[in-house]
Amino acid sequence: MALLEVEDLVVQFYTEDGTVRAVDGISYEIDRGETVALVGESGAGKSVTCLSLLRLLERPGEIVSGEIRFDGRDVLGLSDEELRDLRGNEIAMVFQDPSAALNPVYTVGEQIAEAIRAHEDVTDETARRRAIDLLERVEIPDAASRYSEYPHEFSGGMQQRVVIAMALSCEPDLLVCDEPTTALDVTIEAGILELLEDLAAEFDTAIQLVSHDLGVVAGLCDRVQVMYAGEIVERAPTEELYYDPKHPYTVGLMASIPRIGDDRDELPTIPGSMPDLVDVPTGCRFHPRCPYAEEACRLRAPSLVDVETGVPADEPAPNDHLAACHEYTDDLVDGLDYEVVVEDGGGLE
Amino acid sequence: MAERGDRDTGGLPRRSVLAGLGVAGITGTAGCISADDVAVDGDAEELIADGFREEGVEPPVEATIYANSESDERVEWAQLVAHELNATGLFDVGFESLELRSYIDLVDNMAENEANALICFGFIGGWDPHAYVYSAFHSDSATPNGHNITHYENETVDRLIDEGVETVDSHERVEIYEKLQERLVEDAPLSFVRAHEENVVYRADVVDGFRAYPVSGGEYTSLYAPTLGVYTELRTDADELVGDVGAGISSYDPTAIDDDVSRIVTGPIYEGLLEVDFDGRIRPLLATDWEQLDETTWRFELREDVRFHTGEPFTAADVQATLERYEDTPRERAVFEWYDDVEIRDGHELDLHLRRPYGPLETTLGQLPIVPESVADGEYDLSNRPIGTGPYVFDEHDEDQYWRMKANPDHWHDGSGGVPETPPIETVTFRIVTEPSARHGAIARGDVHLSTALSGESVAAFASDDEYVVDRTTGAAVDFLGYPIYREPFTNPKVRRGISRLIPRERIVEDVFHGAGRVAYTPISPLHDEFVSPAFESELVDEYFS
Amino acid sequence: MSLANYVLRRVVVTIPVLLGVTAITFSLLHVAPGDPIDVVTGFQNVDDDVEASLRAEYGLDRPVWEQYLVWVADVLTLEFGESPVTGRDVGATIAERLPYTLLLGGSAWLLSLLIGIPAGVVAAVKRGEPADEVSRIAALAGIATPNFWLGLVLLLVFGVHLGWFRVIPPDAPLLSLEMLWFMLLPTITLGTASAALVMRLLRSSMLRELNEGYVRTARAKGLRERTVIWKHVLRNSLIAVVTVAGLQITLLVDGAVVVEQVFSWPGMGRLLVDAIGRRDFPVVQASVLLIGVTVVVANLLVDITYSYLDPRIRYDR
Repeated sequence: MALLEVEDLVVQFYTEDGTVRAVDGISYEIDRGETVALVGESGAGKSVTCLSLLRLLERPGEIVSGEIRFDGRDVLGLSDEELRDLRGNEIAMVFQDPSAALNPVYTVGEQIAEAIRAHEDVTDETARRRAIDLLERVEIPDAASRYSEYPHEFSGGMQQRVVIAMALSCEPDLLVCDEPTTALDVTIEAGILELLEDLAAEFDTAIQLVSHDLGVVAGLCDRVQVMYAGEIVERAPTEELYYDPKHPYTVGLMASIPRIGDDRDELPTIPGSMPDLVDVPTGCRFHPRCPYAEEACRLRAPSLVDVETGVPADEPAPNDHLAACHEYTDDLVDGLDYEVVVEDGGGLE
Repeated sequence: MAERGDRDTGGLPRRSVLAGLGVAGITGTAGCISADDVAVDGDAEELIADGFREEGVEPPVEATIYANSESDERVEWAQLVAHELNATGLFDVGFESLELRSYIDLVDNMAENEANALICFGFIGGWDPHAYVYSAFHSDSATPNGHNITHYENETVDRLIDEGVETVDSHERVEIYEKLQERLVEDAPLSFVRAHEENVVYRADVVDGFRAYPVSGGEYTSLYAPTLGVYTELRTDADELVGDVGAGISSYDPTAIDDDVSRIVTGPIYEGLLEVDFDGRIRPLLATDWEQLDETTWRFELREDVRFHTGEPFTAADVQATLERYEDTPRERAVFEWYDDVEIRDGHELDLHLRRPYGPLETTLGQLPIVPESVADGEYDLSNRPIGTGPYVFDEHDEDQYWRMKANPDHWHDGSGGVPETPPIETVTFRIVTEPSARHGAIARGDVHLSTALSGESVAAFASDDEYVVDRTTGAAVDFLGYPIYREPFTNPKVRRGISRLIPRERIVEDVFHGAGRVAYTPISPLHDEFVSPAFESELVDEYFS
Repeated sequence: MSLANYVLRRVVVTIPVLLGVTAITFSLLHVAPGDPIDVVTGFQNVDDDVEASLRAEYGLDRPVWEQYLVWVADVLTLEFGESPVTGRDVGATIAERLPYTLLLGGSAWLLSLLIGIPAGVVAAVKRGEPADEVSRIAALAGIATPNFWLGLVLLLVFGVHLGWFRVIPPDAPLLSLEMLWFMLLPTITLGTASAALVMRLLRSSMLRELNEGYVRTARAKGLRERTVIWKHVLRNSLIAVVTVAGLQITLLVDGAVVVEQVFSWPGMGRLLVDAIGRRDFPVVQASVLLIGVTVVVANLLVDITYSYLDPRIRYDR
């Protein structure tokens, strides 16, 4: 049994323009200790998926159907008290903007210690010691004295380390990282990613990493799931996805990754933009932007199938490579026509 | 500076002109009262139009009528008058209300600034007619020396006023003041509208025997006045009467007292040589007998066995000291206008020498508290505690809350005349309640037993309730409308007289004041029925108002 | 900078403001129309020699700047002189009244927080629900109701008709049970508008704060909702409320004048009104000075509270 199982999750937002299906029937699973990425452009439904795991969605968002099972328990059916026990203790979150994620009026130490006290029956002093210890673990120098400093006295990167320390305070089984480096400087990004990787290994914590940047994902994750307009369009082990992307959208994403030694003046972008989720396109949601779109793409929605067999996988193994494109059910007349060139010394690390 | 100040007998300071201030009802709003149903007096319009022609002025004449915003009733009657004037088509009168301080500035300086202003205000008089006319109409009293706000000047009027004050014979005085009043009504520098009412409301189940006193300051006279044969009792077992006053008490010393409230609360503590009864007649008090020896000499026999609250016996030396103490005080003129010398004949007999014949002497002495010589010597300080010979002894004063006094067990009265030997009510407390609605509420709830400071509307409400006793009497204050007599066409007496006829006096008394007070046409309050006898008044009304 | 340092700096900055307050208060006497001697004598008529001696006594014959310095020196030693109207020591008079106003103002302020804060929190948390609607209407009514009217209605209903409260204060010491019971109605009258203001401000600032990232973080940590609201959201929201607390102090001072009048409460507000009416200038001057100083000191306290609530403030300057 996987640590986390998401099945047919549907999340809707009720807006003035109509009902938006931000997440539209996605299913995936994460095993213990596994690191899985959710990638896609903003608005694809990645953050909403993360918040759904902890039932942190607020009005006007609502989980309308589907199931989330964590360690065999039905997360959507938990009582408030059970949910509180799950949050921070078993599943913890690291948010995109650390300066917003920290409360400006309490010391960083207090904010970490508070998380410990919320789940464990410890004395204030113990909580404090453990918080200092955590600050050291996330490599904040002079942790004991910085314990009583306020968030605004920390740099962005240091703030994110505090958030990570807070998330790890109760040694959760799953760490949900929602774009943890997006708000940070590129030079700091690497450090944070490295820290996450080390800590995940050390604490044997599974990670769900959300990013719009395939480059960030590449170094850290075992598997990648690509989301587009509320659906998962492709999933594969990281290496395989990078060397052999099967969905035209993934291909487009790959082309927009800056690489070391890249001398292009401008990165190619995928033409067009994410569809309006109030009024999604018929058929394949990507077809208006897809260079290979055919009649069939407009008419029928493709299902997520094994790229080799063309058979929908009910319970895919972690290493299976799935994509949602008519190409793999042989429904395309002309087929896909692109080539992945692997350059020496460049690309993935 | 020599001429600045007040010469009237009551020693009325400038501020006493604020008659009727602060009479605001619980729901009274300064709204305009429609006057549609009042018939327009054709003769009055004719008179005004005539005056306009003589002055060569074309209607409509513009002007502004003023009142101070604190007094809802004054604001209402000002608007009524404006409405009445505008209805004739001869005037275009606007209304404006000012905060009291600005209003007084306007009134004090209107003549100097030649302001195009009609003024609604009041005068507080006293027991003598001189109090009403000297300060208001004598040319020596032009503002800022007195209250002659329009700087009215008339030789005949000045002469009559001067004669009146120096005449002692009452028949001669009546003649002089009738002549004077007729002259003032004919010339109409001011038009009189209403005489005030003094009233008291008390709980029928608590208080018995209290009466309204006509002249403000003497409100608690009926508490215990053996020489007048009146006293007040409680119907309950309690030994404390709780009354109210509408403002703080600012002074204890008669040579400094400048306001009614201080006079009211010190009233039962002090006594004068004489006393003025509820009808204006002079009665003995600390003097048992007195006679006029010649034009400027009066002899007084003093009551024996009278002691001050300090225990000192009362003698002629105290009278002399009391009078001479006024020298160099703010109220010096109240005494030194007539006082020359006291000649002590023995411990209880004295001759009072005046510097001139003085008509109002007896009423003046009726309001002049006698204090012990030891105060003049500096042994006691009246600003710490008032000391007199009265039936009540000062107990304590909390500046913003209450004033308390206790019955004087050593008061001189021997129990004759049906009045008990000592005051039946042991303790009298005045609560200071500045908000009119709170005064109404306090008596309604029983927090106070008796109120002498209610608005006309409140009094009317209690009058219809059996649980309360309301006693009313015509008071010594009058409301008037003042004209800018220095500006055309108000320079013309016909115009002023015409306007005076248009004033809806009855409506003002009934609707604005809820029946409190009575219609007035003359400068002297009809309280003084010798000087404003019904026959004289109706003659004036026939001649000038119909 | 530590909190202590910050406080010290704020206090130092306040000194020139206080000097300004004294200068303005002092100049009241001199900008009032007419000769200051009239003000000193309470506009009574006095002889020339009396006037001259009064001028000398009040130092009115000396240059203005010298008068000011002498006055400030007196004020610093709490010497306010004697009232020409009552002959009483002004400092003593004020010392009698001040406790009444402080107690009434303080309890009204407390009431406004005790009602305003929970109501504001509930309204924000239950946004759009009946509780929010009810509190919104109540707040609107509270803000729109004039003190004077509210006080009279309370007096009429609970004093005269129901008889639960006296209409005028009991004859009892300030800190007696009777007096405190009597104080309830004036406290409600004075505190209502402030409570409504606190409630509305807190509600809107809480709604803003509830959308902040740290709220989600707090929830994601597994904190109880109670802790999230009352610890994390409230403290941040209070910053906005405290900012207008200075304004509230003036509201209370302003309201005290009216409420003390209606309830015959022997406080500073009535003292001031009476003194103005009597042209008792030394009392007016001392009261105005005291109110000015109170407002300045209150604003200083607000600043300090503000910096305690929001540590970022201490570093900004």
